[in-house]
Parts: sequence; C-alpha cells; structure tokens
Amino acid sequence: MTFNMELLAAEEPIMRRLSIILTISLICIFGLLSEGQAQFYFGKNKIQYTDFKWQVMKTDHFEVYFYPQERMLAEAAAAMAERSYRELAAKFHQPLSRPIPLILYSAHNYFQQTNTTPYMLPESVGGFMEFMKGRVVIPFNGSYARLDRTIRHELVHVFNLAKLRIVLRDHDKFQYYLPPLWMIEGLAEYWSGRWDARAEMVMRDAVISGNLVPLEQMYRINGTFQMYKEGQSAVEFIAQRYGEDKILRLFENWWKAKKFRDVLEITLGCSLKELDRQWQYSLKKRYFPLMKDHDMPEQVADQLTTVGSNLKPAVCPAMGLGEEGVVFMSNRMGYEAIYLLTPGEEGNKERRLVRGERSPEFESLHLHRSKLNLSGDGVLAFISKSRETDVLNLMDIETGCVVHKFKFPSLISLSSPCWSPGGDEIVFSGADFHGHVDLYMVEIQGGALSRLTADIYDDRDPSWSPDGRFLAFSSDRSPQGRRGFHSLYLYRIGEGEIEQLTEGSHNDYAPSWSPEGDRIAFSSDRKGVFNLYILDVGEGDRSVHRLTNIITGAFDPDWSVDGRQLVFSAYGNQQFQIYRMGIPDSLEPGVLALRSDGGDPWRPAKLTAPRAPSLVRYRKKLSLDIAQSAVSYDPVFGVGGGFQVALTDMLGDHQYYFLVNNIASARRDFLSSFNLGFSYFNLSRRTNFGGGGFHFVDDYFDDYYGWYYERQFGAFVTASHPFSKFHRIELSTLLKNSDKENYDTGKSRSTILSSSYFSFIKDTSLWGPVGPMDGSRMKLTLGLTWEPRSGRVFNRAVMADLRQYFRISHRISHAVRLVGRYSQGVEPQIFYMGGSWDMRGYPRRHFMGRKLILLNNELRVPVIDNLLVGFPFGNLELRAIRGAIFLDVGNAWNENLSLKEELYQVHGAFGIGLRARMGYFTVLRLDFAKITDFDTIFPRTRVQFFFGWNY
Amino acid sequence: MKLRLLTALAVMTAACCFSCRAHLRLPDGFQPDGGWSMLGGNSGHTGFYSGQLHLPLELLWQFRARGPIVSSPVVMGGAVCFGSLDKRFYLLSVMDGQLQGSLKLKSSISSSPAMAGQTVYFGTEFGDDTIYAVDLDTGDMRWKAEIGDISASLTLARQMVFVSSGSGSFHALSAEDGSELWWFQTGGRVNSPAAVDGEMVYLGSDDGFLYALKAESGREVWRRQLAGAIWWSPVAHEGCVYVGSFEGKVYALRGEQGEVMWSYQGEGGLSGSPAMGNGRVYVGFDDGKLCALDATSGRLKWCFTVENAIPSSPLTSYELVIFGASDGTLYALDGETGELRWSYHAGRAIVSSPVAWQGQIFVGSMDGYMYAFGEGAEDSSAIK
Repeated sequence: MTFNMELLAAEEPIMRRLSIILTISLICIFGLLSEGQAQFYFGKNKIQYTDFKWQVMKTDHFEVYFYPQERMLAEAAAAMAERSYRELAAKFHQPLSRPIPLILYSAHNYFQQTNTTPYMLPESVGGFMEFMKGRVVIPFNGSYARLDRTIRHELVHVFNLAKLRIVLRDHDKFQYYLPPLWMIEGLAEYWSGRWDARAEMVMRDAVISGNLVPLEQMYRINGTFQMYKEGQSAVEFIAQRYGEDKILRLFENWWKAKKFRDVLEITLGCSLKELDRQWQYSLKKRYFPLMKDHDMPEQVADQLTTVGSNLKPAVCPAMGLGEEGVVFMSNRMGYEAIYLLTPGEEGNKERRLVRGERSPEFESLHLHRSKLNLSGDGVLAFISKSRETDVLNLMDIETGCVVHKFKFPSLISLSSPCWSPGGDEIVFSGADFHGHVDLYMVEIQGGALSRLTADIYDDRDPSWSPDGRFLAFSSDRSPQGRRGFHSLYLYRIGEGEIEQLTEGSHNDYAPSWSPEGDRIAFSSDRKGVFNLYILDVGEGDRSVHRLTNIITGAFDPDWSVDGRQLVFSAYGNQQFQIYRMGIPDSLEPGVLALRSDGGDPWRPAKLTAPRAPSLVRYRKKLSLDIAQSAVSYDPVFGVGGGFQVALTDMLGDHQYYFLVNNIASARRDFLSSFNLGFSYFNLSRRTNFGGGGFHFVDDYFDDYYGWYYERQFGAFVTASHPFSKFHRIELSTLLKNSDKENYDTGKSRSTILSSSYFSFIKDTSLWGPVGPMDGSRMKLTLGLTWEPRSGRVFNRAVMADLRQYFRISHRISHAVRLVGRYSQGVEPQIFYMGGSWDMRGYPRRHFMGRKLILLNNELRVPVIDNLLVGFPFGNLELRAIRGAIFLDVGNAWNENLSLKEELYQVHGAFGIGLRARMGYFTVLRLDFAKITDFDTIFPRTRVQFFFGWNY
Repeated sequence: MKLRLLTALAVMTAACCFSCRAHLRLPDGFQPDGGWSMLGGNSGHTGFYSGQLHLPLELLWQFRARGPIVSSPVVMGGAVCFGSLDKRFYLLSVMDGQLQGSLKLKSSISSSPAMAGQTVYFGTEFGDDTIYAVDLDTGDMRWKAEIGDISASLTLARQMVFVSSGSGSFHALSAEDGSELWWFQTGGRVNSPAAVDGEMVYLGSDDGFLYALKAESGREVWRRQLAGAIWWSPVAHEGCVYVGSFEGKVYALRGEQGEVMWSYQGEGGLSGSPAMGNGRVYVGFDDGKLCALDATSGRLKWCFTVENAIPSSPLTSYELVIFGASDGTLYALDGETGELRWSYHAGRAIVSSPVAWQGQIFVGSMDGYMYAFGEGAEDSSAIK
C-alpha cells in the first residue's frame, strides 16, 4: 500500500486537534485507495473498460473466477491448480483448509483492469498473490505451459505463507515475520519450474560482469528479475548442497528464532554469511570457465547502443537517410520509446520516433513482447496499447507521422507485425477474448482481417518470406510444446498448411527471412542460453548452423538489405543493447533441423474424476480486509478510542469502509462524542462512484480561525471518470449540517452547507527514487460551498496545481510547480503555505490567506546512490540520496490587491537540499534555505528536516 | 520488617522448591505393566501390537491439551503420558482420560516419551533442550540432562536412554541417573529416533547415512549412504533394518555390513516412519499413499490412497493397520488387503502415531486432543 503525501496538503483547513484515531483512519481510508485509484490528488488511472460477466468454478481446493469467453482456459487452469496443490501439499507437508480464490484473465490488458489490487500493474507483472484475501490473480499470455508455471509459482506463496503461519501458531508464537523476498520468490521460482535460458542468462551476466548481489544485500534489488533469479539459484544451491529436505526443515524451524538468519543457521548449521560465500563460490566455479569458450557480444559484433535497455531491432532501408538505419525500442529515459539510429560520418545519430507511456495512443509499446518491422518504403509497423486494447500503428519514418492505425474489435492484444513483401498486407500475432494467440493478416487497403491459425497454441513472431509465399513463425504446437517449448514452423499463404521446421526440447523464437529467401535467422536456447542460428530452407535437408556463441544471450535477429549482416539485441551488464555483425562466408557445420515426424498434438490439462467442478454465477460477497482498533491518550486532550473496518468483495469492485471512534472526556459527553463515518465505492465500471455519511464532532484549532468547536453530520457522493490512463475528471458533492462555535470570538453558527468540487487531473509523471523525474502533473479544481436554505454562497474556490518535470539528462531534471488558489465568500477557504513541502525556509503554515500563489523551481541531481554507515548495533543504509537546488517564490494574503501590489508582496527562499529514500514509503528531507522578501536576503540559514516525497 | 522479609523469602523458596517438584504423579494403585512404552511399542519401533483390536472402534474419551499434539503417547498400567507443543507434559488416566497431572516446561515437546517401570522419560525442543526423567510413583524428578534440541523420540533399551540431538549428536544416557555413557557425532543433524535391536543401535541422520553402532559402547560398526536425508525412525527387527529416505526410497538392510536386501522407490516422498507386522512393512508417503511391502522381497502388496500426506507411523496388529493422515482422519485398513475397514475424522492433521493397550487405541491430533478408542457395538457405523 502506498501513501500519497500530497493528500496531507489538502485544500481544507487542517484541523490541528485531531484524535489520533481519526487521523490514522483518514490516512488509512485514503491510503487504501492508493495512487491507482481516482480519488487521489494525482495518480494515473486504472480503467475498467470491460464488463466481465464473472462466474465461479468450484473445485476441491479452489474457486476459479472466470468469464464465459475464457471457460476453456478456466478449466485448464483449474486442472493445473489442483495438480499443483497436490504436489505442494506434499512438499510443504501442509494441506490447506480453505479454498483458494484464483482469478483468471485471458489477456494482460484485461488483467491490468483488476481491482483486486489498488496498484497499477505493469507488463512485467505476470501474476500475483495478495495477502488480504489470499487471492491468486493471473493473466494468460498465450502459453498454457507458462500459465501452469505461473499458477504453481503463486501457489508456492500461498503454501509458504500458510506453513509459516501455522508453525508459529502451533508454537504459540504470534510475531509473524517472513523470510527475505529473495527467499520467498526464489523458492517460488525453484518449485514452479525448471532453470531456463533466461535464468541462466541473468546469472551468467551477474557473475561475469561483477554485478552479483550478495544474499545479505539482496534487498537492494528487491522486486527485480535479477533478484528472482539469484533467489532461485540460492535456493537450488541450498537444496543441492544441504539436501532438498532442508527447505521444508527451514519452515518447520521457523518458530525457533525471530530472524531469518538465525533460523537458517539452526537449520543448515552454517551462517547466512557462510552460505553466501559458498553459493558465490559455486557460481564462480560454474561460470568463469565459460569465458574460455564463449564470447562477449561486444567482442564479436559492433555495439550500436550503450545507454539503457535497447531491444527489438529492425533494419530500416536507406531511403532518403543515406545509409541503412536501425529502429529499436528503448527505455533509456524511463519511458518506453522507439528510436531510429542512422550511421553518419561523425558517428551514429539517434532520433526518437515514438514517445511511449505519456499519451493514450501509446500507453505502452510492449518493450519486451512485440517486434518492429519496416516496409520497403520506410513505413514502420509497431504495436501500442491504446486504452482498452492494442492498436497496430503505421508510421512514416521520414515525417514521423502515424499514417494509419488499425484497431480490431475482436482482438485484445497484438504483437510483432510483419509487412508482406509487396507492402499490401501485414501479419501479426493476436489474442482474442478467449486468450489464444494466433496469426492474423490485415489488408492495408480496406482493413480486412483474416485469421490464419485458430487453435490453442501460442503462435508468435511471424516473418514473411521474400517471395510472399510463406510465413515462418514460432509456436508451441509440437509435442514438446506441452512443456512450453517453441519450435519454428512454416505457413503456406493461401493454403493454410503448416509445416514444422525445427524440433526439440528447447525454444526457437523470432525467425527472420534472409533477403534471398534461402535462410532463416532465429534465436534459440538449444545450448543453454539464447544465441543466433541460421536455418537453411533451400533445397535438400534443412540444417541449423550456430552463428553466435554469446555467453549471455542474443535475440531478435534482422537481416540487412544486402543480406550480409544481422542486427540483433544481446544481454550484458544487466541491460540489452543493439549489435550488428557480419555473416561469415562459411558457417559452423549444421545439424538436422528436424529428425522425427513430430507426434500427436497436445491438449491442455483437464480436471479428472471423481468430483466434477460446480459452476455458479459470481455473487458479490463481502469479506473483511482490515479491522483495526486503537486507543490514544493525549495529556491535553484526553483519551480517545475507536476502530475501523474495510470490507470488499472478492473482485475488489465494491468497497465499504466504516469508522467509529469516541473522544469523550467525561461520561456525560459519551453519546454526543461519537465520530462515525461510512463510505462505499463502486469500482466495477469505467466511472467509479461512491458515497457515504458521517458524523464528526470535536474541538479544532486553526491558525486562521483559532479554537472552535464543530459538530457536523451529513453525506457525500463522489464520482471519477477517466478519459485515459493519464486524464480524468472528478466530481464530489457533500451536504452537511454544521454547528460551529468559535471559542476565541464567541461567535457561533448553525447551518446546512453543500460543497461541490469539480477537478480535472492529468498525470504522465515518471518517478525516480524520491519523486517525479519526468513528465507532468496537473490538477484544476473549481469549488462551491453554499447554503441551500438561503441560497447564500459561503465560498467559491478556484485551485490550480501545475507541475512539469524537464529531463536534462538521465538522472538530472528540473522540476517546476505553479500553484494558485483563490477563494471568496462569507467564509472563504483559507490556504496555507510554508515548510518543507512548499515554501522552504519558512515555518509550516507561515503564510495563510484566501489567495495563494506559489512557484517552485528545483534542480534535482544525484548525490550518493548508496550510503552504508556501520553502528555497533547494526548498519544504517540510506539509498538513493538525491540533491536539490531550489528557488521558491510565493505568498498568501486576504486583501484585494492589484496584480502589481501582489507581486511586490511575494516572498522567496532559495537553497539546497538532500533527499534520502528510506524503505518504500518514506523519503527524508533536509533543506538549507535562505529566505528573502526580494529586498533583503536574511542572513540566517534555515535548516528544515522533515519527510515526504518530492513534489 | 526483617522478620517479614525473611518470612517472604522462606515462602518464596518453598514455592520454588515445590514448583521444582514435578506435578506428575499417578494415583495409588498404579501397576506398571508391559503397555506401550515408547515409539513403536518397543525399542525396534516396529509398531506391532500383539493384542486383539476389534472394529468398529468407538470414541471412549477425549482430552484437550492447550496445544497441538505431535508426539505419540506411552500407555502403561492405567496411565497415558504424552507431551504437547503447549510446553506441557500430561499424565491422564487411561480409563476416562481425566487429568492426573501435568508439568509445565520451557519449551514444546514434539518427541514421543518412553517409559520403564515407574519412570517416564521425555525431551523438550529448542529453547529448553533437556531430557527429563520423572518418577510417576513419587512425582519426583529423578534427573534431567541438557542435551540439545530434542525433536526425535526417545528409545529405551538395555537400561539406557538413547536420544538424538538436533545438533547432530546422538547420546546414550544411563536410565538410572542420566549420566552420559557415550555419544556419537554424525555428519548432519539428527532428527530421527534410533532403533535398538539386540546389541545394535540404528540411527539415521540428515547427512543421508544410516549408522549402525554398538549399543553398549557407541562404536560404529557400519554406515550406509541412502538416497537422501533420513528424517524418521528406522525399524529394526531380528537383524533387519527398514528405513526410508526423505525422497521416498525405502530400504531393507541386514548383515554385519548392512547390505541392502531391497529398496522400493515411492512416487512421493516419505512422510513418516515405517512400521512392520505380519511379514509386511507399511510405509506412508507425502502423496497420501500408505503402501504395504513384503518385508522379505520389498515387493509392493498394495497401496491405499488418502487425501493428504501420512505423517504418522502406522500401528499394526495381526489383522489391521491403523494410521493417521494430514487430512485429520484416523484410518484402519485390513492389513492383508489394504481395504478400508474404519475411519474417524478428528479436527486437524494426525501426526502422532497411534498406540494400543488392552484393545484400546490412543492417538493425539494437531487439534490438541488426545483421543481414546475402544471396541464399539457391533451395529455401530463407522464413526464420522
């Protein structure tokens, strides 16, 4: 769960006297609705485009949530889940007592709409298990073997957590703590599938490039793919060195100590440090010798890119560019983008063609999934996610304009388009509602769509032969495909016949026809890691020749126009780069591509007898997510206590929150001192809406109004409609009865008020370790508070918050924020400013008024990436220490002044600051500022130490 | 003031002394008999009961401890003794399950106790690491010895107590006074009980070796490497040793050098100690199969499949084999055919091995209950 610290700088007067419970409650209520939800100050939008008609399939141990279009998938998933359950219950020596909810989506684009988690789900997330209800939520990506592995991976988490909980409970231990993340994910990887080429690639590179992270420091790369693979490697090492039984023993010993390292030592008889040393030594023994017989990519090919990760290269014909170029995808600046690289006399030049992740048209470019392809006349075909589904874009390279888009109502996701030789058609992979990935062809003129394959197999990476008669593609339809292995196939255009080209228990991907049409280059892991191979498809036996022997991995080859070179991507130093190499005149001796006659096609798993699953329609049934209570004591304000509860349904579409507390300081006040709140939010549709009621009573202090008592009760409704992932509008209306008595002035008033706010929000920001680094954020709000009985307007408010982040370099940016607030009326809103979050150098809330203007300028620079300070009691580590050089200008006032007079009254502050990331939720801030009224610079340097993300 | 202080000190000291005295004392009239005195009923841990067991069984009584019961009880002369994960050692009346006494300890008890005469021996786990000897007639603590994390059941034979320590060492103590007679260090951690047959002690370790030692001296006679770690007790009978490895391979060894007579690889991993009776070896696997193997040839006779793993070592008799499973059910099968004859569903998994005494069955469950079953009426249906 993430906090949005901006919420704490809300427009409403901040009540100085808040019971702790209420404060925590409000934070928790809003905190549940983290930045993925529309109710937050900024944040991107998770949009429910699709109305799923959910059903539930109940098996012995699972409740599988699915919609009708993916019925076949659900049945296969249920069978896979039951088989994994049996095996894992045996491995953990622990059956589970309750059915496990498994929520299935037939495509990742659908998966991203799920409300089972408030977080936005990037494409790198292949599934998750969440703690509140123990739900396993998984998307299908076209491969049944991959689905099987993902289900099993998540179920390892389910069993793992259950085992620890039960072991601790059985031994009367209630301090529930978990192993480190590398252990949790490493075990899930180890027990869900085999060690594959990608794992080998990452580990080889980590060891050889010196980037292996020791076990004790693995938290630094928490959540990364390298952490997963290092964890898997470490767990496998434990099993091989100490015995497979030690893994179970580790969990059964969990009650014997309070720290993972102690339990590990009790179980293995060696310390974590020693284990780490042994493991690293075994890796070095395993991988260093490989250098003798393998190559680093930059030693055998020309490296064309150096910064960031660069993938999916495609040769761009010379045309008016002079020489042949290369288009490729990159995330070098944090956002996905497509670049064109052209060689020049003074070096390679790069031009960005497509900016991804900043507009609804290019929400995502599928960096790791979809290839690029150019026609002979320089039109780039690429796929982007645009709102609900994927779109096929055609862009003129020379002008940089998208000349055509294709959107197919029956297809959810697309990938890897390939032009026909004549430029009249494009073939691509597409997934329909059922989730199956097949080959499709679209005619450029007219847009007629044809389906070329229609089956359960995962058909990918089509490549058109130069004579236009064939498609080469990768598919898991061979008998080895049951275990997820992909081979190459040939599709005869017009006839529909499919012929197998390669075979084996390995993966062959990304075929690319040579310009002569007699060879196909492709990427294969048949020798342990991915390398490039060439398949002869001319007359005679088809043989496969190895072309590269790169120690880590080479992918996605594409031929130059003259057929004498290949461009490809290769992995090294934890990144992908683009390379170009010449094809030698003579290749290594080949091996037969196909030796057998194939075999019977495989079918997905099915549930076995004796118990058939039952099917029911999904009914909204609420269950508890959070229940917490607290008691507080304040020496001035007395005692308070209360509790809060959150209930949601299994799909997270319906959320209920309840809050009760009491702040009575005497028995006679008990009944009248209840604070109550309840709210309901419906997230099932594109427009999210909600409402609720409240009764709050308390003494408050406000810098402007002073001490006052207020009792208020009423109701509210709210709605949020997203236009895209980046833009939305919000509307909220509140009606309340307010009885207010000011202790200082003695004045009181009792009235019914209605407040309505309308906001437009835009957020395309890219976040760094301590705050946004790129993109922009904007919020424009109009507010009106009025008295329905008399029609009198209490106050009007206009608020604007505009933020732009100018990227100067990869790690340096210039952040600008302009805030304007204006309120007018009988009881205008008062805005506050001052402190570490806005006007630095000044005390918090130093400026107040019904008008406010603020301009922040801040240059954000890296200072220290990692600082480790050793203490006798342990180490203190500060990661991502960033610097800031800032200039703030602003003021708040009440008087009606002219613009010139207002500008003369502004104050300023300038200085430097440091920000340090502490864990996931907190950033510490230290600022050194001098303040000025623009006539004088006051000599004293103000030091402010606080917390909070950068604006 | 001084007098009050001294009085208080005296009272506190007396209370302390009182608390040092075990609250485990049988009522008058206790007569120790053969009973079921340790894991498997004997030092070889065969699990065989030579008396009569009649089906259907009926629940006679149940006693609730404060925590899960993992270990098997011992039953002798009217007393049922067992330890629990709630850090208590219990003494119940065998007739009605009434609590006769209990002893609060510093750590949990997951190993089965052993009893000889009027003395019961039991060990505690990590955090207390001690083996205790309590005289049930007087309630006195005869002796105690800090050995190490004791999660493996104790074995009594030749007036010695054999105990495995989680640190990897194996100890032989005098049953009389707890003095250490010898100890043996294996290459890994020892979590399995030792089986004693004649002059030999057989011990498995998670270093994958089965050790054969001389009981009197601890001298190693031979060691045999198996397919994986050994978590559970070997079974020793008439010169043969039957033992299983974690990965589910069951071995029969015999001879002066422990030659392997036969081996059987299950489809799943092993989940409990084997038992034997009537020429068969019964083994439970974590895939829910209980299999009967011919003791001489290792040939599979039959397998019976339940929902979940079978962690408890079976109890065998001339006609029946009775075991508990992780699905919380106690099963009774026909020992010859493997046909289900009777079952009872407790609350949670049954990890403890059932024991028998005078036609009654006693077994503990992870739900914290100690159950006692006896012969039911002819027309009573299979229970729960």
